[in-house]
Amino acid sequence: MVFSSFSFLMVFFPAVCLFYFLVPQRFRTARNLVLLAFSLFFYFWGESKGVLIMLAVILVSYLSALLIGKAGGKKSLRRLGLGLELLACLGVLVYFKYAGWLLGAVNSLLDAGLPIPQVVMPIGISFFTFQSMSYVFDVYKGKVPVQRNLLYVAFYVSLFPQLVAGPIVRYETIAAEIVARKETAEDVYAGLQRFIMGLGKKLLLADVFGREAEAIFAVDASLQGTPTAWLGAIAFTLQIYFDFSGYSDMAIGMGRMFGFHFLENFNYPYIARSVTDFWRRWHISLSSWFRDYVYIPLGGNRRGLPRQILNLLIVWALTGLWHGASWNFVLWGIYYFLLLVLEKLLLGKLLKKLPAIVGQVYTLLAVILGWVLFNCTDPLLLGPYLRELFAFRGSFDYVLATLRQNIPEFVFGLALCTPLPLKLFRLAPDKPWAELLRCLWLLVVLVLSVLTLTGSSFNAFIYFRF
Amino acid sequence: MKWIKRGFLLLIVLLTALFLLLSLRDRRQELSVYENRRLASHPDFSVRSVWDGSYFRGWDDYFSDHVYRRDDQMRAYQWFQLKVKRAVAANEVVIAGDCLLPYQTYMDFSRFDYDAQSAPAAARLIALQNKVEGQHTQFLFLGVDEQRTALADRYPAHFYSKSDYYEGVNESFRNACRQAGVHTLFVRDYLDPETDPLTWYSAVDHHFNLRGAYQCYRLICEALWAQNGPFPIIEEADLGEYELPGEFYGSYNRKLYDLSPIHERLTVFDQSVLPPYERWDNGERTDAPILDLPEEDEKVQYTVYMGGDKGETVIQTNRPELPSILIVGDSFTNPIEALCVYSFNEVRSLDFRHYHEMSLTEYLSLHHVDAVVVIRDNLNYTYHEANGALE
Repeated sequence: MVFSSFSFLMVFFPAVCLFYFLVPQRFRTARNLVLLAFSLFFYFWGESKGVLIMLAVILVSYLSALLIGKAGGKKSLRRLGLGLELLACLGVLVYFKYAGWLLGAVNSLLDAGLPIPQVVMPIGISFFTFQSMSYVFDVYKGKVPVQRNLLYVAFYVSLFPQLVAGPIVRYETIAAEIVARKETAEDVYAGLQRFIMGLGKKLLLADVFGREAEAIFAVDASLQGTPTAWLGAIAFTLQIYFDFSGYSDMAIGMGRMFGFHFLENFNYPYIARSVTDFWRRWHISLSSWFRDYVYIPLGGNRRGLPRQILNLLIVWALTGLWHGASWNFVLWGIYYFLLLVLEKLLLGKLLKKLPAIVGQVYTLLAVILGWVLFNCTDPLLLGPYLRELFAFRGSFDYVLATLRQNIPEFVFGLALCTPLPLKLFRLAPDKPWAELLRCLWLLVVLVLSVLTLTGSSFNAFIYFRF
Repeated sequence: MKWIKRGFLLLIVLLTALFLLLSLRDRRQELSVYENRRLASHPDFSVRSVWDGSYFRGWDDYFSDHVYRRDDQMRAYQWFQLKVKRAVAANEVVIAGDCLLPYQTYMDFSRFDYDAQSAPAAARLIALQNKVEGQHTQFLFLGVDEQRTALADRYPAHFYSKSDYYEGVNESFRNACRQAGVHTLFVRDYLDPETDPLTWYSAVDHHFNLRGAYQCYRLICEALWAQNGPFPIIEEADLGEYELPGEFYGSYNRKLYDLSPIHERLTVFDQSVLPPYERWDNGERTDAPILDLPEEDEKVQYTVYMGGDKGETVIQTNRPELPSILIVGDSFTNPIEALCVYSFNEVRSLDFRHYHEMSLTEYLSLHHVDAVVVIRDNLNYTYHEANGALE
């Protein structure tokens, strides 16, 4: 069930809210149980068999953390707990997400003829395994206390707003709020506002750009012409941002309605002044996860430059792979590794001296090319697409026609890539009329989103794949 | 301020509840005329369907297909696209002045190898022609331009007509057929280039209209006359053509959900000009008329001609002195078949998108006909499936 579907908007979400808010606030456990039950049902709705895998991951994480907690000073037992968790989570990930791809690669390289299991990857597996691991890591490091209530661990991992497409919420972020939080009308209002804006980003912007990107990427790249190839790359750049940040807005908004304060997942990534800066602003929950649980434990930048570069290579190969079992994602990760190393060694200092716009243009170009790598899941399509981007041939007519068709989307889309609209929003005085205008704006976005949901058939979240 | 925020929350709660209740109470619609498809029915519960996920997917489809006043919402969405956004194209349809055309994604065909596609297509046709003629049957390939090609110069500025590709295919395919020796006729060669193509083509649908169909019928008859004549050919003036009262619901204006600025009425001929006939569809005797005329208040669709696409249709007029014809092709053949009933004793038609019983040559060995006419639109000249892969 996706958030931008009538089954979610019309049936599931109203039902959760009804049952949740019917329970008096003082019955915290009961409210949590309502959320847990609905979260499990939410996952069961979309992934009936996968729910067993998720429950198994939750159970192992709970037991691993308990073992670590009980081990006290015994290092070996603590390591055993951590090892169990890694084995379970990575085992599940490797089997369901990578086994087919890995065996296929072995077969094609060595002509081994190994049987490839026909495994269906459960939705959101990369998110719930990473959340589970972050909980056990934090317990291992003593950053958070062990949660002795299995239901709360299940609650943390399976909470439906962020279950299938993130953001990857750390246990420490919501540990206190699981047991003691206060839902206020102010929070519900702010959360609903965020949810509606997220829905609008997804349906009114991401899907429009997505339709264009899909149509162009579907064409044989050698027939696209340079302007159209760039249009496709830019449309995908906008699609993936509004798709994923829209989903994150909806998740953060719903969390807020239930009294949770999830951390931000995006911070205007397309105005970044360097690729390093971009990765501080894009999918923040994932990049900080890899930083804290992979890069820093590997030694980070504390063991000299060569080791730091090796650490970066490992982190970026894994980041690429996290997005999917396909060579283009590995390539995409390596691409960012190279850019980051280049910036670290050479370009970073230069960019700081140059006007900000230079860094922004460079970053945007690098990111757009990165998204081409990301979107060409068939490596055979990648070369021709990249070639076409720099072939300097073809007509601008289609670009002009597309812009003419989608003027409001491009204007709003480009504006929303910058903090300008938010600044304007905040400039509005703290007066009732300004609040009324805000409500009216939200209503317009909501009505247009519902009409788009009915009238348009293009509606798929990119990050559901991961 | 507090009251505004709480009021907004209350409003959203009430709107959601109202929308849900109205959706549940809304009269169940089974068909979507706009989308030309059956709407989802609610899924049947079974342990298996729950376990494999189809049960919940079924509910997802059901909810999205049965929201309150869905058709009105879809119309409102299109209205927003056309009137507020002032888009030139909506739902993949370009509004091009006095006609509707399909929206097409740009491709640069300057380096495209047309011959690589045309040569195999011509080779398939000559092989078929040899087999057909080996059974003492005349063979003819009739090429017709699809509406978007005939009206290509009507696309608004910057919108892509893809005419470079279609013209490239057309030229290459014709050359390949000529070199291979395929007996071909291309309707465009016989249409006056000075006359507005809308004379022969629909403004709201991708087919030709009755006049366009008549040109095809006439060409076929004249081409078959030498070997299979004499047989009667009806004159255009004798068709008794008239417009059906309901609005024509073509493949393009249908997608604009009654918001099309262009309206058209479909022209049909007077069925009384036809001789008495018996009809079989897919082997079953039927009383279905040649022209399936709708009620006065009903919307008119292209399925008026022959009742739409069928795998196999046989029409016999009990005039053994006249020749028989087999027409192969997709929906472009339907009005032509209808007219051919006037001229031929037996009219057979096969559409290999729906007919899977046997190959064309196997069919001909069971049912001898005097002539086989394969009709293809230029979008499909080199397409090698169904009616493009005849054996």
